[in-house]
Amino acid sequence: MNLTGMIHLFLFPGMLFAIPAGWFFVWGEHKAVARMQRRIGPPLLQPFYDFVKLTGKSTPSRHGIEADLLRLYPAISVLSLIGAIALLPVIPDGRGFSGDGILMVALLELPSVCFILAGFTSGSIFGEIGAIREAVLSVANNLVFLLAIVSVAVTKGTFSLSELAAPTWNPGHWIGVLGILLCIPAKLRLNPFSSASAEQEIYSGPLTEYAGAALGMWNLAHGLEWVALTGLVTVLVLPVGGPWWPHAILFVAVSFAEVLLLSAISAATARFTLKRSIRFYWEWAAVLAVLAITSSMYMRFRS
Amino acid sequence: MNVLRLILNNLRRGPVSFPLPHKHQCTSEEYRGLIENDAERCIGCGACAYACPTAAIEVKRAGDTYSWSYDPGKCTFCGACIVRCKPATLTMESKLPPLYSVQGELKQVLEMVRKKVVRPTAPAAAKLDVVANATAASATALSQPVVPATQAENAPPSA
Repeated sequence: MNLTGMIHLFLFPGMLFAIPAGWFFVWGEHKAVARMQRRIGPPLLQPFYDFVKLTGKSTPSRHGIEADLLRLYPAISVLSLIGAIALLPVIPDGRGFSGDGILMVALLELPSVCFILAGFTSGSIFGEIGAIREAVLSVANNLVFLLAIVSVAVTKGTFSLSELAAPTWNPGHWIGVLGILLCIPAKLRLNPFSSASAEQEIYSGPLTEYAGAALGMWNLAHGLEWVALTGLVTVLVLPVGGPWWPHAILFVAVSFAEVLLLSAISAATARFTLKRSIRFYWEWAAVLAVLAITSSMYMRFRS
Repeated sequence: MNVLRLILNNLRRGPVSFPLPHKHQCTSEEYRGLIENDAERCIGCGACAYACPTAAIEVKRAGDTYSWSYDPGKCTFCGACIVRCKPATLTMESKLPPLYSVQGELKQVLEMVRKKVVRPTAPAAAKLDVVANATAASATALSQPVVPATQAENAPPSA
């Protein structure tokens, strides 16, 4: 890895930026939903305080391979998400490689897989129900998510993220971006697709048996998911070019605007049942995704 | 779309909950705050300590002196001590209790000299006699057989 790659992984948009940004986005969501419900909401540093508090907690000891796995899953999630964020071409400099889009999709999917495995490994009935729900939701939304990503890729004829980052007037690109945006609530387990961690029914789903530092890592992973997913949409809609620092500021501003939009959807909707969530993605959102990919392919063959 | 209108209204009107700490100090009229003891009138009977379900109040006697201690950290603000306090020296503050970070930080201890319990005076004793007489009279009346009014009117006059 060269110096630029190291900077992207460890400084911007990688670890040094992504972790505080994740806490900031989680705070933004909590604060926005609280204000929409006429509550005050948490202070700015609350997610950081929670992380520090959880890290310092002593937890009931587990033994055997289960204990190691339950510690491993959140660590894998955090690392894969930092990797995914580092791949984001926030400052397009042509450093990517010709398949980094596929790698990013895989890295974005890894936390969901770990979440499901954590639910089954925990041995809790609530964890298992949550894991099943997450698995079903993942299958439901990934159909649309992958079709949307492919439709964006078809418009450019590549899976290289730095080339995908330059938006075009091809309608397939924009319908694809809308399809990705529709999948984010399910990937972040926000209302109305929050059945996998429905606290009133199954406590925290797969995270029910988690406490202390491992739970803190899961919370951190959730924040990083916010950064990665909103960041992906942002790089697909932001124009490319110009000096790097206005671009970075614009990246954070647009991502935060997406956080506010998703928070508003979360506050305005009630939780869908699993069946209704699947119907939404496979009947309605899938139509949009098919439209996106058809449009992209038509425009591609026409040009 | 009603929910969007509701959300916009909520954003416009602002939060209804109070920010912490200590921004709003308003309480209701009969708010149950910290216990206050009027040391001038306390007789050190220990009824409050006896009534306290969480042992927040302790009374320790040593000869003619006694110490009265109150730990708000243990208090459940149930008011049982106030009900039991015969001289009515205990009251509850109507303001919010202060925040604290160390257990026992707000504990207060009063060292007092034990006072003699005041016996009822002569007029009060006479009043008690009147009450006792009235009680006896009502007991006698209750021991009489109950006769319905109509039956009593129709009954032949006794010789």
